Amino acid sequence: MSGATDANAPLAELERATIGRRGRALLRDVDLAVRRGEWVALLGGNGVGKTTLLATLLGDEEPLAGAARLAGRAPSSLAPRERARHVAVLPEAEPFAYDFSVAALLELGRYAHVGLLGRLGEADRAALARAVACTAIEPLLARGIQELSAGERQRVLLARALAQEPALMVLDEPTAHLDPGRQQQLLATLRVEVDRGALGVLAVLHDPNVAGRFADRLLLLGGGGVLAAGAPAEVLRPELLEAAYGVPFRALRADDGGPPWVFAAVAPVAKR
Amino acid sequence: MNRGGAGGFAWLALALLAALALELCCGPGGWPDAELLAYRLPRAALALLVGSGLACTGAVLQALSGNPLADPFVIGASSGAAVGVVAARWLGIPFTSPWIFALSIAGSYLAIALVLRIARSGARLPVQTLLLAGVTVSTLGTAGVLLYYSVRSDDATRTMLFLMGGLDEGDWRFIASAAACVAAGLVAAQLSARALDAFALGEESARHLGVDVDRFKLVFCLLAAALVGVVVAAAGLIGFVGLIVPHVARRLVGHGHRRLVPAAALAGATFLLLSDAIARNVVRGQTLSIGAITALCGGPFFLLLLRRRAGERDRLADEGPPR
Repeated sequence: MSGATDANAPLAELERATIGRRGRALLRDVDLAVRRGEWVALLGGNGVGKTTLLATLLGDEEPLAGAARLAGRAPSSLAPRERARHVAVLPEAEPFAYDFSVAALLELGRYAHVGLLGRLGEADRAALARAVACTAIEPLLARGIQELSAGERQRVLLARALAQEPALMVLDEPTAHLDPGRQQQLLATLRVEVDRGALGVLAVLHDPNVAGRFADRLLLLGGGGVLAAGAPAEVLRPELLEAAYGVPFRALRADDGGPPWVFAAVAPVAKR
Repeated sequence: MNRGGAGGFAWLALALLAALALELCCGPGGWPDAELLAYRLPRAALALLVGSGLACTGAVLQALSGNPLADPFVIGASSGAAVGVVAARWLGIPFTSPWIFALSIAGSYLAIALVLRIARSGARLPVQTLLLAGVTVSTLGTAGVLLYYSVRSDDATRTMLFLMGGLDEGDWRFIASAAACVAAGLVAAQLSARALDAFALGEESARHLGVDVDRFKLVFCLLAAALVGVVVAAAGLIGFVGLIVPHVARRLVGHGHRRLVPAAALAGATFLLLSDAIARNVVRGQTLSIGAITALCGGPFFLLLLRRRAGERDRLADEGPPR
């Protein structure tokens, strides 16, 4: 896509950053870089600061200390349209207030690329067609967005995010309400794009096993900072996960040669 | 969808022409001569302006709040404008002065900004809090107006009649300046159609798509305030037009604002012309308050929508949706 010189430059970056909101620090000393062709996943308990970290990288919050950079610049210095051409966000599924057609929703993905009157050019149509093709939503285009199932809705929103042609895709619990099949289908679609070198991904994911299979690197957050960072096999260790989530974890060797399967050991209340 | 939209516009245009003919041709005095036309033409012009202005504002507010129940009356904008008018009267400004417009717009803007600020929780604008905040601000505004009536009884009757809602303003200069404001508002809404689409699907996602949400929010609030302020200063409080009409327009041309804004403007003009024709013809020798006619149509419609939304919420709850 872009020239060889900046191909390896981080799309988004945190440098010894303190993450927080309203002056209250949530995470200290966070180092993070996402490049094209790689997938970085954030893991950590509720309220640990994952969403605030994303907000800091997107320029909606300022780092309390250290530096945040998006496309090599201070995130909040990017104009809205400029930012939307660099980074797309796939949020948690939410119901829609109005019954637009899927096609109309999709077209909004080109908002940051077209002029005031919204005329779609050739490049816009091509981007939309590509997004439709790789998410396989062709049969949904004429449907109303309110009739979609949760899985279809997230696929359509992924298509819209891809139509933005971003260098970086940010996901915040994108699969929270999907069944395991829909979840893996959605993430696999995105993984193909990452492997193609089209973009980099920064994703908040709940399930450590899903994160371990789809992401190249994990960042485990807890205790007001980064507990562990690195390849999935290094991060998905019971003692680290216990420190992050506060319940004992077990690990099983995976039969596919990947990182171990990990799961929380369930302790009934009576035994505590 | 494309063809359906075009068909929708053809129907709307036909309906508008029919309503215009009805407004001009019917009424006490029968078939219009020059004298009757001189009375009915400004009425028709004002009905056109008020109807299209209110309906367009309704569509804009429904997108801005991501909430299909928003309307200038429901969220307190009209009441704020009424306070502006009363404040102008307090200062001794005559009804035909442009300052009436200015203060009415300012009052409306303050009310909209206040309601949106109170009702917001995080990035969301939940239906319940929006309606509650709107009702509260409306009630406060009404209290202000009533207070004025009681302390300035000399002016109370005139101001009350003015705010009651009517299209009796016959001054063409006044109508022309209202027309300029409404036209500017319609053009601005039409040019922002894509941003309105994005807002309608959620402010947060609009931001991610590259919409400058803070700037557009200001633009839309100003636009709504300008339209409502002008309408209230020109014709008083006319309720529910901004609620019913966009919903009818949605049925005809869909939810995309490139079609919805002009369709709502056409349908709003039609609705007001019809309402005025009814107001002038139902009781022999009397002109009923047009605000009463629109509210009589709009109130039940609003309840119906509220009821349907409650049903939808139950359905969604059964499916176990997010949140």
